[in-house]
Amino acid sequence: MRQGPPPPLQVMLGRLRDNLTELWPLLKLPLTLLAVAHLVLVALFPGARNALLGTTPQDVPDYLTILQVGDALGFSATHGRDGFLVYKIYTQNGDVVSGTFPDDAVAPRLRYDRWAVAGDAAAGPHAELHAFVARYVLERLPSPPVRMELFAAHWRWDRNSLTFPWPGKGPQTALELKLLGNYNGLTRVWEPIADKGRAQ
Amino acid sequence: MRPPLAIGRDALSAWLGFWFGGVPPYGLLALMRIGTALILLYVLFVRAFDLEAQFSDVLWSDPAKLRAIDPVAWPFSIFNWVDGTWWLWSIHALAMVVATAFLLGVLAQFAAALSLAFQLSYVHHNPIMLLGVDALLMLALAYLTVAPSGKALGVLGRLAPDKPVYPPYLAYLEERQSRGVWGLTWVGLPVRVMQIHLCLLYFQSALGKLSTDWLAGTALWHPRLVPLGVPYSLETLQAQPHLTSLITYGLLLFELLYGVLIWIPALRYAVLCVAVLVHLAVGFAWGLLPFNLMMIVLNIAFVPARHLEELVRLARPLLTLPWVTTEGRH
Repeated sequence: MRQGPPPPLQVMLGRLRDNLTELWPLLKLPLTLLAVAHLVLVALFPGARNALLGTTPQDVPDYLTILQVGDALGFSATHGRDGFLVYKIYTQNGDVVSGTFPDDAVAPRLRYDRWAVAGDAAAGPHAELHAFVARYVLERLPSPPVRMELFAAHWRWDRNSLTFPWPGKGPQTALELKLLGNYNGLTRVWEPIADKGRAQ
Repeated sequence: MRPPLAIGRDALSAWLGFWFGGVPPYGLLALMRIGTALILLYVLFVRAFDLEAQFSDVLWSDPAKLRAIDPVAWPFSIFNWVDGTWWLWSIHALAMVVATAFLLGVLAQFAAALSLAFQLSYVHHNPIMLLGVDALLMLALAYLTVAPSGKALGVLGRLAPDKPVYPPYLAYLEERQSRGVWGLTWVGLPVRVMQIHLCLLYFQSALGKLSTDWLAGTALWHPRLVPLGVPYSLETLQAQPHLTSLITYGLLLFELLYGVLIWIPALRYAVLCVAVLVHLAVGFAWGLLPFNLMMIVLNIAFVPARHLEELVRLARPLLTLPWVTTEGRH
């Protein structure tokens, strides 16, 4: 039970000042840690998006980078994940570019892994998800394409031929692609492939 | 005549005291709290890079379609209650603030429960982006919600039992040990359940590896193991088939036998050392550091509590923040 009259305003303000003064050392540690963490992460990932301000240094997200045809396609070493998406785009000026979803250059690794499980799920037999991904890719292109093909990619491990590093038996030869659908740039229609063509 | 509830409580406390007597593992729980909170903060920070792409209404967040893809998905998520980018970032910022409070030991159990709710919200809003490290984080947070992990190594403390709470004081809160209604013995229960859970995790992981690839010793040859910016080149390792076979069988044996050998007191520290080495090696070699560090944090549950308590007590003078003045407060 409180005894005596309630404290006057001056006393209350004094207590508030004392509390704020005592709060400052408490805040110094997390603020210092935050500043150090920010500097370290900026030094480690200079091209990454600023998580606090949400600014994007580039128009196309780097987990959706368009690569040149024939680049080695990597995927996560995590157990059980061996599917991802490949798209081939026929541009208006006659070029053909291909890319993967996700791009293996995404950093840090934890971020890549999260997109990798999404890519693995999208490479499964989910026709609606294929259409979503196709729309997502199309919305982020600098100009409308004439045509786009979307593939599900899976690693096919031939254990006999991959037991030793013989020439011509590397991982690049073990990739299997299945066409999921086509986007027609003239009619602007996404045409999924029938069930027999989808990834199992 | 004592009420039946009190008799039941005493009986249960006596039973738990028989199993979990001795030193209460406050230091152990505090170390687990700090490790879990640091990894949680890192996971949240990295998630911020793609927060809108993964959780706003762009591609992956149509709840009906995602639930059709992942039948385990459950419609609970804080993100389902709000709409818009501003709320998305606000909730994410709040999750980071709560994780920071958990790290500092401020209302540790409450912060653990809230962090668990946030983690579940992320998972249920977009179940196809679930990683192993998320599952381990939720496991640890669930146990730390019911265990007093904020009694040691927290920033809020008091210098003596009769003194007021004085921030900040990174110390061992010994005067708050014996205030629990249910007695000290209850603290050991979540730790013991966590230990059993960890054994089951290793055993389940080993069972999952009993496939052709691992039994043949060729698991490191799978074509999906393309280096992803990791410091160690897999090709160098693959050039020595005997070494890759040894590593494959070694990992398999370790995971199979962990749940048995860890309970033998004489082998406890040896098994823990092997676990730390294995997880550090796998974490650095394959770039899966958060997951493997989280496994090391869970392994802290097996360190004998009395050893860690001594360690925390010895470190107490070093942990007291030197720039905090205690003048005029008591």
